[in-house]
Amino acid sequence: MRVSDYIQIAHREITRQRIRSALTVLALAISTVILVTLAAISLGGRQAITTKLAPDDALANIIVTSNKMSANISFFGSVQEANDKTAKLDDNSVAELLNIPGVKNASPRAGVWELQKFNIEGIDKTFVAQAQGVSDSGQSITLSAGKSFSAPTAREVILGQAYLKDLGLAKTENIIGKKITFTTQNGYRGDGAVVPGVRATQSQYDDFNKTPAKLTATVVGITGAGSDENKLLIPLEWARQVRTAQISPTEKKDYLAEDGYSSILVNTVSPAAVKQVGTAISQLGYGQVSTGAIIEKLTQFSTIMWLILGSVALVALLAASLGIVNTMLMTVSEQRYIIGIWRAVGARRRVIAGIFLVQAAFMGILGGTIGAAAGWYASAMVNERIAAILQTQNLPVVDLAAAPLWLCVGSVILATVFAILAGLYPAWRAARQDPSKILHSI
Amino acid sequence: MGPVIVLSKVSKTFRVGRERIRAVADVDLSVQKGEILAIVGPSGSGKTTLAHLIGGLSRPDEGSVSAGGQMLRTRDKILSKYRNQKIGFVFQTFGLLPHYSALENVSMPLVVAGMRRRRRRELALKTLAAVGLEKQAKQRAETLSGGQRQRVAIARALVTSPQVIIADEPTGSLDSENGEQIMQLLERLSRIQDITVIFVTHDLTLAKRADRIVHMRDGQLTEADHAR
Repeated sequence: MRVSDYIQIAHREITRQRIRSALTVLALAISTVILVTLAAISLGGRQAITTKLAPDDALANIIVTSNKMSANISFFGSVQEANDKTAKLDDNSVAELLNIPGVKNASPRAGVWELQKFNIEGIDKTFVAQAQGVSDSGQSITLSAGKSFSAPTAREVILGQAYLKDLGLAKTENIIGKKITFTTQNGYRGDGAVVPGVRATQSQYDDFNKTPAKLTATVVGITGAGSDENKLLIPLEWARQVRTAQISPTEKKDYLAEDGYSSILVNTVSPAAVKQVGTAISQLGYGQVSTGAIIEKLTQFSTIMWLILGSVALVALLAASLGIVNTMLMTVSEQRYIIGIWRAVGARRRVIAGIFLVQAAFMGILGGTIGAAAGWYASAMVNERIAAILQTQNLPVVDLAAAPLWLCVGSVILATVFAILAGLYPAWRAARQDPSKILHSI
Repeated sequence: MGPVIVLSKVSKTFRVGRERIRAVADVDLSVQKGEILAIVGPSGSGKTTLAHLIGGLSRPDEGSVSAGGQMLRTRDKILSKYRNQKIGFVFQTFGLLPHYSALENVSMPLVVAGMRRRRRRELALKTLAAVGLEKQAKQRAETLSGGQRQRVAIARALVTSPQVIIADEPTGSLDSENGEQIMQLLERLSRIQDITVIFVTHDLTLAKRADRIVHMRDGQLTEADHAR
């Protein structure tokens, strides 16, 4: 028998039992919608993780710390191993890192604990200053607006974009050029401090030790999204000046040199070089973590989520397939007469089985296609709703659900395979019917 | 001319619950080409089972069935091909698919044979014309009268130019006028196309129109008459 005849017969039988076929197709369509939507959310989540955590060339970066880290990175950090490098990261470390093949640039970063709070001109809000001194010689800062520091000691600030969101400022030009006033820790003795002279009284010293100083700077840029988005960056050499204390009228102490840098941002030649450079850094005894490694962890997590959600969808598909088994078995017992006639005119068992399998496949394709289309639409609606919510919160819009063509086509194929598998037993039963017994009764 | 069908010591047993019923027992029968054979007997005598054994719808438990000098093997492929090409069945309740048109019903054996759509349409229309139903070709089977349905069934049995037509109570669901027309049609086909017609009936008057009558009782052939 010709394939076109199988299809025509299947089509006629399905349309003859409209309501039953429609309900079976609906069950398949619903389970395919669940499959596509859950898979789209899982895939979209993975894509959002990658695009959010890896803007531009961040995948080529490695953050180097003094302590060697355990290989088991979790979302909350990792175990750190004490070693001879724990003392500090200094310019020797920078030179050592720059010697590793594949390293393009090594940019030290220093925590500036002396700057504790800050206010922005014209804004009645005080923030905790998570200030970091940054060397921007290798363009280690990703900017979303403005420019980088004009000089290594300039009193300038690059503000993390998270502060803008917190203040509800949509336009960056409203903040660039504004003055920032830092409040230091009490008894601050660094750049700009007015330290009591040798003739000062004990009470003047006591007052000095209880009073913070005020330092001003100008906002010149806004960071992009990523690890710097909640920080406040200042030029490294100015950070060194802030951290250099006038401990006596004749003596200064460089605490940055004493404590070392808090981290060094290593920029590799390409994301492909990260693994090799990371191994070399670890062999030198430093700790290192890359954006790629964090993404890998998150991707592993999202893969587990995908497996869980996928299993739920597969159970739904299985339930719908049982519906097909039921429908087809009912059809087989109702169509005994038709089976008998086809057998009498010479149809082989495999032809009878084929007619029923094509019916099952037909329902699978129909249910799968309707479900995939509805799932694609549902994913688009999820994105639209999420985008609307994120926009009202002044947050960047991300597509939470991604239903690519391969997912939609794959779901149709999967639904069809499930339907055919569900049709196997009824088709076998139909093929095993004894035509003589059937035709005896008509 | 040699026999077209030969049954040798054919037996068939059915299991009904725990009981085994021998529907056909040690039947020897040969049917000549172009012959009209009537199988008569009371209900449950094994007439239909015998017809199904001859037509390859059922396999004998013992003995053999030969068609055109070749013993029928019991493989599904062989028996299906035999039913498709050598045999045409006509049933008491017509055996038509009610939601199919007359043309589609007649085309069924050709669909199974894998014939191209255009060719099978031509053949089916020609055969419908031979039974006087070319105007009803597109009509659904369920809308036709009883006599018309049986003629569609005969057209379907004829469309592959079989050697044998097996008709099980062909007039059983028809009034006497339509029954007469169907019998005349079967007789005409047998004479003109030299087709063997085996029909099952419990009506002795009808059976007398056959060339030969075989009687069945309790699964056995009890006697054979030459009606004409």
